[in-house]
Amino acid sequence: MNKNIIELKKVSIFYGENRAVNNVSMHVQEKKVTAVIGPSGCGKSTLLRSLNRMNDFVDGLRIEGDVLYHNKNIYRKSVDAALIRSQIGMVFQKPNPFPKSIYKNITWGPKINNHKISSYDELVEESLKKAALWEEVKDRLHESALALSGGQQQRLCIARAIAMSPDVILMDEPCSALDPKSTLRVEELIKELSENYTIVIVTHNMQQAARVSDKTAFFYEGELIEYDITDKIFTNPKNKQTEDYITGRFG
Amino acid sequence: MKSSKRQIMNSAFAISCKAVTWMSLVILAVLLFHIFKQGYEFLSFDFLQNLPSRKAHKAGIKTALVGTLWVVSLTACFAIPFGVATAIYLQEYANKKSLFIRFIKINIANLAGMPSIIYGLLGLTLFVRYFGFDRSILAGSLTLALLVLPVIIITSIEAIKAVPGSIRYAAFAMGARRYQVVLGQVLPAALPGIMTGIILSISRVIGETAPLLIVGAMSYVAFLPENAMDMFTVLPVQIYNWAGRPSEDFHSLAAAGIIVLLGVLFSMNFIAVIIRKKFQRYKSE
Repeated sequence: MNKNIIELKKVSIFYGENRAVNNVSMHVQEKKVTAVIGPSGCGKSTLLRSLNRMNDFVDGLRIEGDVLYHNKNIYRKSVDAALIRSQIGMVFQKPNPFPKSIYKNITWGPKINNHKISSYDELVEESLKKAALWEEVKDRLHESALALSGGQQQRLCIARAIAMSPDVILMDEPCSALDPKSTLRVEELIKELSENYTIVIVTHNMQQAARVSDKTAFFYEGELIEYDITDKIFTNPKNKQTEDYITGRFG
Repeated sequence: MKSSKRQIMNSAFAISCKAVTWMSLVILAVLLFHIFKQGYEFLSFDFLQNLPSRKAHKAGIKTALVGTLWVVSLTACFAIPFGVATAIYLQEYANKKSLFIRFIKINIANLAGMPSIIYGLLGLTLFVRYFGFDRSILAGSLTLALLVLPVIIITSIEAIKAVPGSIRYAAFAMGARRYQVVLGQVLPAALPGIMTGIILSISRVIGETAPLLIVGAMSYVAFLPENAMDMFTVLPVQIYNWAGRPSEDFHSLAAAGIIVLLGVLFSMNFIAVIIRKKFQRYKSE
């Protein structure tokens, strides 16, 4: 039995008066892939961004309830949000490499966080290998990351997150801007990474959730409708709404 | 096939744009040709080496050239750090919705369009008289720094604004502090744009005459400035002075001065463009 690394307790998130996430309680298990699915606007990305306090940058956003990370509420006043973000990495919807070389994309994070790194060359190689990008870019590490294809850029963003040796990696629809072939590569990568990392992935692609995740949470209109082992959700959902959604009757 | 009205409009528009472009280029070329024709006989190594003189054939531009270099360097030292730092504050730190901040931004934009003579009067009151810097390089440079500060601030703000938010979020998501995001990601990405503002400002400083006349750039300085508190003259003031004399020889001298001024302008811009290119490497390939 894996232990819970993140726990949400009665979390509600508001944009001004609008409630985007309503009274959600769930947990994320260590070294598992947890998928969050649901139709657009169901609050799943908002919820994901609350796990590493990236919501702090949204004006007028308010959060209620507790988000526990290793049993500590990350929304307490004494918590250093930057430190949380250095432990909980994030991969965004659109690939967003820094406008620097591939090499510097990897080394920047550990450098600014004063990680003790004995060899940056090794760190770069290791991270790129884990992200299945090494073979494609090993001869042009010092060229611009923006010269890479979209799929390669997204894998570089994953490598960049891995280089921080994070506890958890959050992925916000990481394949939605990629073509099917790149999507497949990233999905394979997610499965490989789950041996060593805890991954939370938001996706509106149900097949993707079924392919990569161990557990799946189905959200609808800001509420957690059902949360269970992925196989169960997709073969034998308890809830009528979940069934309707995964069989494609709406959404 | 008969061409449609839209096709005719299409070619007509392209042709008129082309014609206007060439017209301005031809006018510029005629101007340059005229100046070179008039000035080349005075243009020599001696001209760059000699101090000013009442006799046209012995007069040189050395003091003005050195003065201009002094003024440009000092102005850059004041204006660039203040301008870029202000832009960073206004764009990255200040509350953009605050009425006060918006008021400040609008007024900076207005200042950028103010006639330079007004800055001259301000410099005279503030630096020359109140602070007692007298008619020194320091007073002139500070005045010109005030003059170009709004230009640097506005272009830097625009450059910083153009850096995509996704880069900032990526940096924050890796645990970066705001200063690390600004210094490590935003500023390098904005640098080509910021450099453009700096190039414009330096060109303006090199060519500016009116405020320096008021602040007290001399037309006749017989020695080279040795520190920032010395008296000085600059190229455009020297040119203005020569051009105003009745003798034809001095007009040619002024033309030679203009050639030197253009040379300085081009080389400064060239350096700035090289720096900009260096940082543009990662923009898109």
